[in-house]
Amino acid sequence: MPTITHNSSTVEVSAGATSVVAASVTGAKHQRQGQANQDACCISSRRDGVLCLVAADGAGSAQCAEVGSSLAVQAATSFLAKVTLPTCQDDWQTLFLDALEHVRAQMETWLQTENNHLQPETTYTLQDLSTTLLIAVVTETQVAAVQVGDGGIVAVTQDDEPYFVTEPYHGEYVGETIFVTSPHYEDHISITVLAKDDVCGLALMTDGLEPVAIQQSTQEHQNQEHQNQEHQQQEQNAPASPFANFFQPMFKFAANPTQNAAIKSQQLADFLASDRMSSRSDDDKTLILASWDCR
Amino acid sequence: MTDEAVSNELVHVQFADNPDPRVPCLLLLDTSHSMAGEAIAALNEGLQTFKRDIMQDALARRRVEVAIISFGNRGVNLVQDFVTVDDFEPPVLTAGGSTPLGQALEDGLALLRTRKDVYNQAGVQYYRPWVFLITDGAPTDAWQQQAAQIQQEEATRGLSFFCVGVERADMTTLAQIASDKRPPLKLKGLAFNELFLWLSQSHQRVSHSRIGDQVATPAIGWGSVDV
Repeated sequence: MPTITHNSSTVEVSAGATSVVAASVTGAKHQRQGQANQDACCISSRRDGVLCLVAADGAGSAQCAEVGSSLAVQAATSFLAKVTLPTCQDDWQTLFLDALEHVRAQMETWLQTENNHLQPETTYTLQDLSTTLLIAVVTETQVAAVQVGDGGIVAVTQDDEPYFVTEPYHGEYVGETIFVTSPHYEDHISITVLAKDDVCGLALMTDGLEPVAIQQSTQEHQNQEHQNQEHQQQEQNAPASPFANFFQPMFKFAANPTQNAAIKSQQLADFLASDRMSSRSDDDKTLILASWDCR
Repeated sequence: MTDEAVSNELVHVQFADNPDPRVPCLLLLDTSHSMAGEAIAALNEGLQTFKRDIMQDALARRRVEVAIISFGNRGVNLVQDFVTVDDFEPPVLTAGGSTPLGQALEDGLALLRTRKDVYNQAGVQYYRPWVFLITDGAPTDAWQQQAAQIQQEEATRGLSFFCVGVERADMTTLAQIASDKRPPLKLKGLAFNELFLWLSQSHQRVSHSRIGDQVATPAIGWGSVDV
C-alpha cells in the first residue's frame, strides 16, 4: 500500500534488504503564514519487491501548489504500481515520459472537475498546479530516476561519495526552475539508469534542503578557474555537488538496522524541522533516504 | 534501546556553507553641472540613507550589492564597482560637465555582464539586477542604440530598468529610453532621501524573497509618472 505523506508526517517501509526512511515538513515561512506544506512525497513497494520513491515541490507562486505536488505524487505512484518495468535504458525513457504525461492528464481531470463549480473568470489552469517532480525506481538490479525541476536525486557510491544521479534544472535567477506543468518541460528533464550494485543508497530531496545539502561550488574550483583563464568561457557555471558531510551521516542513519522504523522517521522529521535547519532554510523540506548493501 | 545512536548520527550531519545569493543594484547617476548645489548634495545624502537603511537588515546587507557609474563631471566614471552594502562606503559626488548618458548606459550594461560572469564562475546564485538611472537633464551624446539594448535586456528579463527624472529633466527623451512597461518617474522636488529609502526597502524585500515569490515593491511616495 502506498503511503502519502504531507504536513510533518513520516513514513518508513522495508522492501527486501532495502531500508527506507522519509519525512516532509512545512517550512518556517509557510508556518508563519498559516500555509500548508507544499511538498509531498510517497514511498511504495510493489508486489514484485520494486521500490518506488516519489517527491514533489509545489511552486510558491502557484495558487494550488499543495494540490499540484500531491496530485503529481499520487498519479506517478499509481502509474508505477501497475506498469511493466523495462530492462533496457531506452525503454525507461519511454516509461518515464508516459508517467509524466499521466501526471499531467490526472491534473487536467482535476481541473475539469474543480472548474465545473467556478465562474469562468476564476477557473484554474495547469500553471496553478505547478510542481517539480522527482521519481526513482529501485528494482532488484537497476536504479532508474527522472528529475523535473530543482531539488536533487543523489546516490552514494561504495566509497561513500555522494553524487547527483540526475541533473537539477535551475533558471538564471535564484529559485527559478521548470515544472511538470511547464510547456516543453520534456526538453529539460533528466533521466538516468544505473546498475543497482554500483551504488549503496539513494536520496531524493526538494529544494528546501539545497542551502545545506548542496555545495554551490568549491574554492578549489574557483582557484582553478582564476589560474586557467581560457577555460572560463566553457566553464561558465561552477558545478554544484551534493555536500558529502551532509549525506554521509544521513545514509549511515538510514542504514542503521537496529532502530525502530517509526522512531527513525520521527527523528528525521524532527531534524528537518529543527531550529538549526530552519535558521538556514525557511522553505518546506522533504527527504527520502533509501539504503541497501552493495556488493 | 534507544534512539540515542540514531540521534548521534544526525548530530554528525554538517551543513554546506554557501555564499549568500546576491541582489545586484546598479546606480547610473547624473553628475553634470546642472546638478551642482542643492541637487548633488541631496543625492549624496540619499546614498548615505541607502547605506544606513540597508545596514539595519542583517540579511540584505550581505546580499545587496551596489555599483555606481557617474556621468557628467570628468565624463563617465566607475565610482564604485559591485560591493555588498556591508562594504559600501558612499562616495561624495561632485557636479560639472555635460551629460554623456548614452555612454553611461553602455558602460553599465558591460559592468552587469561582467558581474553575472563572476557570479556564474563562482557558483553564486543571484536575483535579477536592478538598474537605476537618475538624471536632471537630456543626453548630450548618442543614446538611441544603448536605449534599445536596455529595452531588449528588460524584455528578455536580463534586468529591471528604472528611470528617474529630476527637476528640469527631459522626460520625453527619458520615456524613449525607459521600457513601456516601466515609464520614467519624476522625482518630487529633491526627495532623494525618500527615493533611496524606497530603493533600500525594495531591495530588502527582494533579498528576503525566493522561489517564484511575487515581490510587491513599497508604494512610491517620492515621484510620479509624468510623461
